[in-house]
Amino acid sequence: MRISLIALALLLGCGYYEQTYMPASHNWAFRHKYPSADRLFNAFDYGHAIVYQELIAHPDGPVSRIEDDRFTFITTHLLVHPPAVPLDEEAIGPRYAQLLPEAHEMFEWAHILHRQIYDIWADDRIPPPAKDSAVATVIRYYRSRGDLAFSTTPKSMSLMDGQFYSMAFRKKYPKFTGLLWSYHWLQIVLYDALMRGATPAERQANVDTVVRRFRAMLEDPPAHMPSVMPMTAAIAPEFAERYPDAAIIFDNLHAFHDVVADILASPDVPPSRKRAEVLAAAARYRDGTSSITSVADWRQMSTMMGAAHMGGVPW
Amino acid sequence: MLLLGAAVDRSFPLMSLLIVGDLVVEQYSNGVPRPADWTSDIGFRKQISPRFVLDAGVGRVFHGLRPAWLVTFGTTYTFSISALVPEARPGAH
Repeated sequence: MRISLIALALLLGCGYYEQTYMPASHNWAFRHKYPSADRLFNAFDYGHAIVYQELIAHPDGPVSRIEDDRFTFITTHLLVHPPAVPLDEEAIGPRYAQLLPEAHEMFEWAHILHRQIYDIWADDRIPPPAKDSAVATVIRYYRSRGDLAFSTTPKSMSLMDGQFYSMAFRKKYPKFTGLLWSYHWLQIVLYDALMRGATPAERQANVDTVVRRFRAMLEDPPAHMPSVMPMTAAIAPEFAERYPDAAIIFDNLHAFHDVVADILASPDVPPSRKRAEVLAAAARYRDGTSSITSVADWRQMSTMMGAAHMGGVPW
Repeated sequence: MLLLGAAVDRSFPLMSLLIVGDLVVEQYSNGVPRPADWTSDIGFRKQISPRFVLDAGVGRVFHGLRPAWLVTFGTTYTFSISALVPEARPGAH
């Protein structure tokens, strides 16, 4: 079946294809149990897509287009009234989806993994010991797409911060960077919120705490937002300890989000080279050999940077 | 037969909504003396849940042999089949 789909995709002229959730009884459990948090994920989709769209469609636009106009819309409207369903990023960022379909699909695929792990931990029908096996299954499903899956090998920070284009977005758009990092903070900390709750009531209380803390980050921006990229081992230590493969995948995902923004924002990368640089970086974040570090060093690096700078740990 | 058409669409991403309109002209060239059919349609596609999409439209053949109204309604439901996903099978490694 998969071979047929790949062949069809190649015949149609594209080297990738979309794939839906792994079939499972736990699918959508998080959406049903924690709708306020789930809706935020839908709003998060907009933030990344619109910033890539802006950087591609208006490369010489004023900083205020992203840092003020888009930021204000997101924080005062979109996050206040988040959409009920996941958004179509191709409609939000058509130029982004046209220029970087492979990167777009890598993000989508990782977001499905995110959501399926939330679902497993939100589904009270799955006893805690069985959750590990369910998580292993969805990770296996995720990794079955080698053309999209982020590596389960930790990458050194040089891949994100040591390139000629590094920091371009972060320096120019510090407030929006803080917003994107606050998204990543919530996405990661929610895992510990679910894992630390022994009862449904405790899990609900933990999720509510995380959502409240996230909303507090948006007040007086960027004062309360993360000032460095949140890393899983620092802000969700239980999750990182229990599921290191997933934690590493998500750190690589979040780092790659920043790398794409840096490449698109960097004046040192001419427009004709943007796609090539993104694809080269994407390959490095997927493979198990480029700029790798050990799991022990990854944990140490994460904690050394300080959880407080990453948004903190709410418990 | 000559078939010419044009369409426009407008997306409202934050509402997960797409509106489409079109105009189609059909001219038969098999020697039958009949006027060209001019049809105009408008419709929408709305995502109402992660797996469920509704679409509907209305059209009018406003010029031609038989002027008529057209109504269309459809749904799309996305699902996957466990038997076709090796990783989802019990005991898969």
